[in-house]
Amino acid sequence: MKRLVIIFLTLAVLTAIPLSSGKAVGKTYPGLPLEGYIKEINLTDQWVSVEEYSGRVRRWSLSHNAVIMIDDTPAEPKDFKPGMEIYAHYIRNNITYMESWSTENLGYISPGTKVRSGTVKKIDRDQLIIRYPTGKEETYFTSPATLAVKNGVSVPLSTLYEGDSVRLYFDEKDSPIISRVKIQGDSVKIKGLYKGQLDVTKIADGVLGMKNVEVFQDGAWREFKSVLRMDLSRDLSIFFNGQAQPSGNIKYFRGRTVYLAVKDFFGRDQVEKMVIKNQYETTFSDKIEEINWYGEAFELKNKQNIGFNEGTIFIKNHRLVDAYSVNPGSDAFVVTDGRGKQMSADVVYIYDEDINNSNIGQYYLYSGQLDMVVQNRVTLTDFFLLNRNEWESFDDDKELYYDNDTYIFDLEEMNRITPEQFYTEHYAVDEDSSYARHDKLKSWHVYAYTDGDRIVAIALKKDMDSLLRQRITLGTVDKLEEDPYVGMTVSLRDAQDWSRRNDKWMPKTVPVRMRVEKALLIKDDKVISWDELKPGDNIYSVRDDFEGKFLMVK
Amino acid sequence: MIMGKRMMALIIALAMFMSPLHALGAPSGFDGGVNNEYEYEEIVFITGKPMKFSGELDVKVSESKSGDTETVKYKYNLTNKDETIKTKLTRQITLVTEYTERDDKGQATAQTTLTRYSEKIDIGKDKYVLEDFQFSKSDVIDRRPAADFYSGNLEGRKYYKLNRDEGEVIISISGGNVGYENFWGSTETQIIDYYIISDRVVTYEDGENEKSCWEGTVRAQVSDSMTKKLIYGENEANFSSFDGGYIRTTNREMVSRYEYDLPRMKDNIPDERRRLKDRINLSAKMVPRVERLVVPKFRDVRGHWAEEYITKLYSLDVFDESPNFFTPEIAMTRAEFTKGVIRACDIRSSLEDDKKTSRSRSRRKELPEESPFKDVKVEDIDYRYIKQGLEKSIVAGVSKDFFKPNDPLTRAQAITILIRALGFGSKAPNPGYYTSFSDDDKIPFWARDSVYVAREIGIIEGDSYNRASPGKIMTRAEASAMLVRFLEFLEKDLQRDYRENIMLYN
Repeated sequence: MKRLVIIFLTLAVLTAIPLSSGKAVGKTYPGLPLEGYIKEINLTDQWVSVEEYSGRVRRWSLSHNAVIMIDDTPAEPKDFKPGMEIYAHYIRNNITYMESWSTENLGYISPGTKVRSGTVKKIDRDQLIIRYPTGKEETYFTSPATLAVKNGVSVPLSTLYEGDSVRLYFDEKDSPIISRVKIQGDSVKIKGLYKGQLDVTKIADGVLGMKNVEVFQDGAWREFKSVLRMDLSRDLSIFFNGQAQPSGNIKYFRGRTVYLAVKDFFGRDQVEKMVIKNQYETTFSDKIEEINWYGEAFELKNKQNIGFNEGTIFIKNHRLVDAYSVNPGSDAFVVTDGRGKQMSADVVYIYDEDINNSNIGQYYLYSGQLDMVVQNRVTLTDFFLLNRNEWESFDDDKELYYDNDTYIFDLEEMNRITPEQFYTEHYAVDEDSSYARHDKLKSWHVYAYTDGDRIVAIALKKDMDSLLRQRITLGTVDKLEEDPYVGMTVSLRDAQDWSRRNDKWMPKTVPVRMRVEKALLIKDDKVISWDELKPGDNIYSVRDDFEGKFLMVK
Repeated sequence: MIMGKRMMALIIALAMFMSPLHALGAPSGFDGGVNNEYEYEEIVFITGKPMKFSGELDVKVSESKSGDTETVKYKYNLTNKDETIKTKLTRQITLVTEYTERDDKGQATAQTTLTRYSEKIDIGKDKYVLEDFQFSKSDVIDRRPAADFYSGNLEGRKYYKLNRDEGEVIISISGGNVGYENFWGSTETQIIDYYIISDRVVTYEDGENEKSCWEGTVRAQVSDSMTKKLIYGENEANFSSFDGGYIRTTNREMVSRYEYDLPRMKDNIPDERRRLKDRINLSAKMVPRVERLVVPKFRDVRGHWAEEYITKLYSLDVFDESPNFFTPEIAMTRAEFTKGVIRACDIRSSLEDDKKTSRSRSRRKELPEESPFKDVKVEDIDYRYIKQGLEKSIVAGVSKDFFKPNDPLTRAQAITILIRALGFGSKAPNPGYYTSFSDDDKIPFWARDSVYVAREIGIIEGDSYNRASPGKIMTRAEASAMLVRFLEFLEKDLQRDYRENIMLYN
């Protein structure tokens, strides 16, 4: 009885195991099995000579309707060569099914041929959530070997922002590890936020006409043009009252006020997202205190509750993002649509910027006096660290490291020095030594921009600046001017200063101008010269009134 | 006369004989310039300072009687309108391309040579004359049923003399192009690197001479793109026999980006320490061409989830339907879908040939045509489409002898037909892999590559259970939706991949 049960169970288990991959799905082929090697194949007369494993050689006809495969892929008799091992089925003298194997690396794809394109929804260290144009999301991972390319140049991954458009390349078919990331260049940025009266649309041409157009500049709507035509992006999304609208419906909204997020497309403005105003506009410039993503609402510091929806234009770091990229504590310019207390956001423009674009980056700005400089290592004493837009003092020493790639600049002589000069000359001295007292030597002060503890760039000066006087300013380069009296200056529009007292970014209604000749300029983890600044660059800066100290191109 | 003077971008293209390389959607020349119907513009870097020249471009395309040689003549007549000094650029180039068809592989190769050239650039008192121009270009064209895909490389060198003996400028050219052409659109993107070496003598007013040497690099990325799209236009009048209909618009646009690294020049002398690095964008759009399509009047698709897809395909004459009932929930047959794909992609040229052949055959009283399938008669209304599909390897029979034209179409069959039409089957991994669908084991062996590729390129997605449902019978509505998505791929996705994905990420 036991034996019967065992046999029965064994049969049950065996029948439950699916057939191996050698057979076509859902089909079994008639005939008796045959296994062996092809000795000869004749394509004209359609026969194949097979040496069975037993050593017996026999000639078989290939049936007219025989199913023929190599590695589970449809094949033809001409694809078979003598010497190939086969598995076949035959009826009488006819082969009805024949398969063989040839592929060395099963399931192999050439490195980099699996590609995913989408928008970065969330960055969390080595984890990227990508949203596809279809709205679907997937999570991928970076590794230390992941390469990033932006504007055709290799850049650190820390340059990546939420809202960036990326193309991800993978070396293996099922791997979630990204081997390469191509990041869309400046064309991903929102070039302008416009408001105007909808006039005409030429859908065939993809063109939109507006009247009484205003542009959001220096913290407020400013008159721009009385009549304006703009191209519509092929991915344009249009919303009214939180509902997506087909582009053919635009004509019904003629005369209404619209808000447009506009990108640059090869020198032309192109509308990326459009929200049509429904009721009445109110604007706020305040801190977002709390966000309820599920309830689709946020509360401003002034206790005003504002709803948002799929149509709300969220702009952060000059990129279109979704509500999940907005963090409580962000300072924002908010355009609402509604009446009374019922308000829904049409536009949320986040001002916040930081040295690091995401938590991938571990960049810091230090200021302090040199205590010691030895080969490849410096120590700062009583140093300051720029933390959340404010200089924070530490009554301590900080050890930092430099190398041959570190950019070391003497602000007194206005020239770059070598690492050897840095540690052999008198930038750090023991001020209590008789030698120092005799020669009236003092240790120099520095601004050090670091990647972790590694100094990317360091600027050296004899006297310490008053850090309390300094302000952190954001803005967009409007123009660069070579002033015959003060040297190279940069004017920033849409500028905001960080207010320590209010703990928020304060928009300025006038442009900010500063001298940049003695400033440390950083772009994509590298030091640049002032003539590499371009109008349209977004800047995070530390300045002492007119004197720029540190400018970072974001 | 005024019109004659300002007749700037006259493009005489012999459309009937156009090859993929000079069809709509291929940039004019190899200088990174853009043009619309009226004006051509490009950036000239020969002086070390970027200067925008604009004006007339005349392109003439002709083909030899045998059809394997194409001649393109470019004639430029440009000026720089921004400069206060007098500027003029005249350039004439004749390029001859010889095609070698490889019908056995469904491919062709093209070899382009320069047969004639002349160029003169006047900038103020300086006159640059092109003394020598070496140029070589080669392309490979992969002819697939639904589209031709091509890619090429070019190398060249221009040697200019400045004011006869005051100096010389040598521009080395190296680059490549990539493009596609199908009924719904064509795009060609070129990326060309220029390496400029200038060596001249500058004479000051006091008679002193100084040697001025500089080197610079320029990268030009230019893309010419043509797409056709369908736009629904409502009928403004209420008392009309139809509510609205589709308009097919043909849009053409050129975009270009120059990225340069040049010395900062002052009075023709370069600043040794400072460089000029920047980008210049150009774009030009042509006026769209519009075509009204026939108006659908189905009684049974209003409000159906696939109404838009069905009416679009009807307007395109993809399906021969009775004007009243489409029956969207009935199964699509294999023959109908085959016909739909062939019509939607406009794979009609050889059908026309087929007609002519049958006429001449009847004149010659040759043997009557024999159907490759026992269940498809030569007289059948869909015979020509099935034969065409078989010849182009878009479809295959269920066995060697039978096509089963009236059998319902499964998703696996539909996907396979579309991917074969694109010729993308070879993009699948080596055999012996699993797709990421939860019902991978249900995918027939002959459809595995197509299902994998279709998901990779975004033509299909898994359902809420991540199933591909390969064996599911497709209704006429579902098949219409898939066909419209396929057309979108040909029109929009390919354009994005060949233009935005190259130019905005490089």
